[in-house]
Amino acid sequence: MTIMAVPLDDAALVRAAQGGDREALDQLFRRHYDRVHGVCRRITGNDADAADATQEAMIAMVRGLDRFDGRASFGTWAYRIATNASLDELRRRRRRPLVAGRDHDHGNDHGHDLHEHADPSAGERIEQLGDRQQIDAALAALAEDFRVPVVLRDVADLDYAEIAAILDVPVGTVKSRIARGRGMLASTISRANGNHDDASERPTPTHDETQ
Amino acid sequence: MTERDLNDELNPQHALASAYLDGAASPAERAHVEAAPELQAIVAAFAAVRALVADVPTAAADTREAAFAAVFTEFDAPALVPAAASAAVIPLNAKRRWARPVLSVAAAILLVGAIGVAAKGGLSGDDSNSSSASLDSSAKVASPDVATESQMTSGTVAAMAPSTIGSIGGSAQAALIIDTPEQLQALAATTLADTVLPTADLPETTAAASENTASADTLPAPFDLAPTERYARPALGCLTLRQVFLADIQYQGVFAIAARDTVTGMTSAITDDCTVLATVGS
Repeated sequence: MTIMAVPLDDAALVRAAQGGDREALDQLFRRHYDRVHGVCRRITGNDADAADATQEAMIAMVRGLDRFDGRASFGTWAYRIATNASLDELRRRRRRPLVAGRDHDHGNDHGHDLHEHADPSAGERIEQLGDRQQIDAALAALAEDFRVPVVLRDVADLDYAEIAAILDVPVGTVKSRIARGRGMLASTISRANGNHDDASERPTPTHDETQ
Repeated sequence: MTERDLNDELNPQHALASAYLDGAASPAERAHVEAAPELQAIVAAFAAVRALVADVPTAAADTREAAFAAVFTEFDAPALVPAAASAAVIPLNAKRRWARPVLSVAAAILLVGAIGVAAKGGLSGDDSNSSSASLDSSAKVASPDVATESQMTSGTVAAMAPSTIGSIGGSAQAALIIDTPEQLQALAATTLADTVLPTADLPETTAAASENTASADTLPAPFDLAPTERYARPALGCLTLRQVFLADIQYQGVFAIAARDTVTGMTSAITDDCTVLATVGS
């Protein structure tokens, strides 16, 4: 008779890790590592900062693991920490002097508008880049308020309610920011590909919607 | 950017298409989208964007393993806070109401000042602006549970255990009531008396924080204390390696901790779920 081991769910792994089980912690973190790194990579925009943010986030998770009470899912809790670590990394990067030869995937070292936290000049270079670099540049041109919810939806696969809990904004705000973010990304990439008359660029009626 | 600004110019077609793509559209909205070629085209464009965003380069194997090594260094470190440290808050005698917060803050000043004097040599290298340096320092500090003088003078930016400072008030600490960024600034100022920090850039604020205009020269009236409630400081798990715990606070009615970034000098109010309620400059 073959006995198949059933993988433990996150809650069980968390409990085991809280009890000092290293193997459980290893399993738990390896299960979520790619998505956590993915969130950090898309928010920070480059491999080096993503690596820093991911490691800081994982260490913060270990330090806080004993206090994690399971009210939220482990994933939601982890992505919240990853989001904060990534935004902290972005703030540190803005204070950092430019270093020649730093490993950025794109030359996104122009001065940032502190309010928008986007790189307006990034869009100008998009048409010269491949798909992956195009999306990096398009995301860099997107303000953090739109970039973060789009990333949490499309990379971490969180639903609107989970994203709203992480960002501490209403669900309606999450919906509208994701829609606006996608609209801007689609428009930027479409223009870069030479498509000046596509569906995502229909004239935008001005609505004063408060959600 | 205000909430109103963020919601300006929301294209209703984009909102429909985005909700449809996420499976969040109502039955009527789904029917509307499926009957409109124009909307279907937007859905297709958004789906292409989603695919590009989701196609994230994976981390290199050595990057991943370095992160796991750091994780297990932290996991294997001795426990920082005894279980009793998260005990219930001691009720205060009304007669000593003003004396206790002053004593708590004074005790915080003494310990942070003593550590700050010892840390002057450790911070002089000022290589902490580089994130790779911060990773190196965090990997070097194998036992960050006690901020000993030898660790401070080793030239690394020590990952100070937040509970080392936070426990100075004893195992049970009342949360200081902080209602404004100015009060948070004043709390930060009282713990900066003898600490030398690198020059910080203009302060940035996060979340709901307003611009800080308070002068650090004048202390506000003694802090009020939050009502007696159990507070277990889960927010300690939210701190980055550069942040040190200052005090338990109740910021605008929300239990949080005050923590200072040892590199930038910024002080933040951070909740149990890692939300930054406010950040003020040093």
